[in-house]
Amino acid sequence: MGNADQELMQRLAQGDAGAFETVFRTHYTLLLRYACKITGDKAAAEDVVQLVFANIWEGRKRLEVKQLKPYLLRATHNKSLTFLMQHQRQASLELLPPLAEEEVDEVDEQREEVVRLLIDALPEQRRRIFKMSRLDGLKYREIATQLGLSVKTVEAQMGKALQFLRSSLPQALKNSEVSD
Amino acid sequence: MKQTTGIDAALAARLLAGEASESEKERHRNRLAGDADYRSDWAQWLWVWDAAGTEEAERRDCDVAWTRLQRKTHSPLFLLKGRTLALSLAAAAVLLLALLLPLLWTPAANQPELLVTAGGDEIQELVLEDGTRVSLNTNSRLSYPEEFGPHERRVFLSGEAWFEVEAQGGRPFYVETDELLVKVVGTAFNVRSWPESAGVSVEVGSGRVEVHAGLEGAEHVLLQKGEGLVFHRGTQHLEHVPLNPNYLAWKTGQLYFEDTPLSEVLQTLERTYRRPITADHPSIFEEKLGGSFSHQSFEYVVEVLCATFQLEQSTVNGVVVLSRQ
Repeated sequence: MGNADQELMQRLAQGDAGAFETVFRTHYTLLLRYACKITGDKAAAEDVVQLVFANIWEGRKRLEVKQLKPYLLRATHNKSLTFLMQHQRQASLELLPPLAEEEVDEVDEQREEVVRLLIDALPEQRRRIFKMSRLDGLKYREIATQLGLSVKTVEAQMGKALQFLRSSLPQALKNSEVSD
Repeated sequence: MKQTTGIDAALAARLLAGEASESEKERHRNRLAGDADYRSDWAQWLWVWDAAGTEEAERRDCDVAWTRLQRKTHSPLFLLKGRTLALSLAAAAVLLLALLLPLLWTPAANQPELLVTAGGDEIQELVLEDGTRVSLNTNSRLSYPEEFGPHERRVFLSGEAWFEVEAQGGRPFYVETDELLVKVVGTAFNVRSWPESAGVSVEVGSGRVEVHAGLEGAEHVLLQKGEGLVFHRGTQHLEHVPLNPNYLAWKTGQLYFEDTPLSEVLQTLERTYRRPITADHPSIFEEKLGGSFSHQSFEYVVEVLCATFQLEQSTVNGVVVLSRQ
């Protein structure tokens, strides 16, 4: 992890846009949530994270970073506080722990994990159909053609998949909170 | 599983995936409007559907943010800053044009064409041979000769674009689309031609343009600053309309509303994001919105609307419907 980060940072220092994109995509969602938590404002959080990455790109030649994630979280933290101060939002800054890195929106990550596990628990064909519809946005007819099934089958499988998620998700979420 | 009064799972999936038939959608809308139990059951299905798509939504958010960041760090506009300033100081003609045309379009055969396509979610910035600057919206194509002729400059557009045209006496600038020919007299203007809508519209930011219905210019209208027109595809007629204050939002990412009725706000959102949205009660259209949005997603703006006016949203066959809570 540390090594991979250092390699990325080296490539970044040489102006490698691909490395920059990797860094961005790997950490964006996490940083956005973190900034959101501090600023309480999604739009502001988006701006903050943009600024964090824009600064990284601009200062890429001078950056001495061994571990990216803690560095990015700290930068996001600082920029978020700056934002709050500039906009004089009522946030008691002392109440914010200086770096709550490890617990950044674990709940959200947990929810995603739970949903992913539930989807993975679907029988194979049902899971494929559901993903093709929900995640890839394919039409039933397209799914049916691709998988060599009838539209009726796709419809029925979609209903069953959704039914399963609806009946399992609330309990699964509850369990994941308890086990925490 | 309280399926007796609620929505059958397969039907819920069809409605959510945009596969429901017209009659199913009609029945769904009616029950949503009149049955509180049905609404709360539907809310459950929506919740599950959303939860199952969070990852995908986040991936899309990330794509959008990455595009935005690239525009910030690699913007050709940055490189062109000096030039842009010189252009505007020289009061060069600025032509602003946005067009969306049916995607099939064939360029004139005798011209050596350069073809630029903006795909994905990145707006392409180009500088043409004569110094004209173009921002080409996503899913759009621009075709133009490598060098313009001595008497005119002519480009062909499919999709949506913004042009800043340098005025050149004796060498007018034309933008051709399937249905309209726009002649630059020295101006800034916007043209929209969505394939799915009944009309094509032109809006002028400054100066003047000449708009011809049909490429041969059978009927033409002169438009001035602050004016707009709609070309009705059905009747093939041109009609004057007022300028939509947010006509450039697709490019600037900025939306401003000042005491604007929601009917107009929703229209603006539709044209800016190209996502259908409506409300299910006349009183909702009459609500007034003030405020601005900067580079916000469609979803975000809709959420703000819902929070502001205590509305709730549902998606019916791809159309976002706002209802009273």
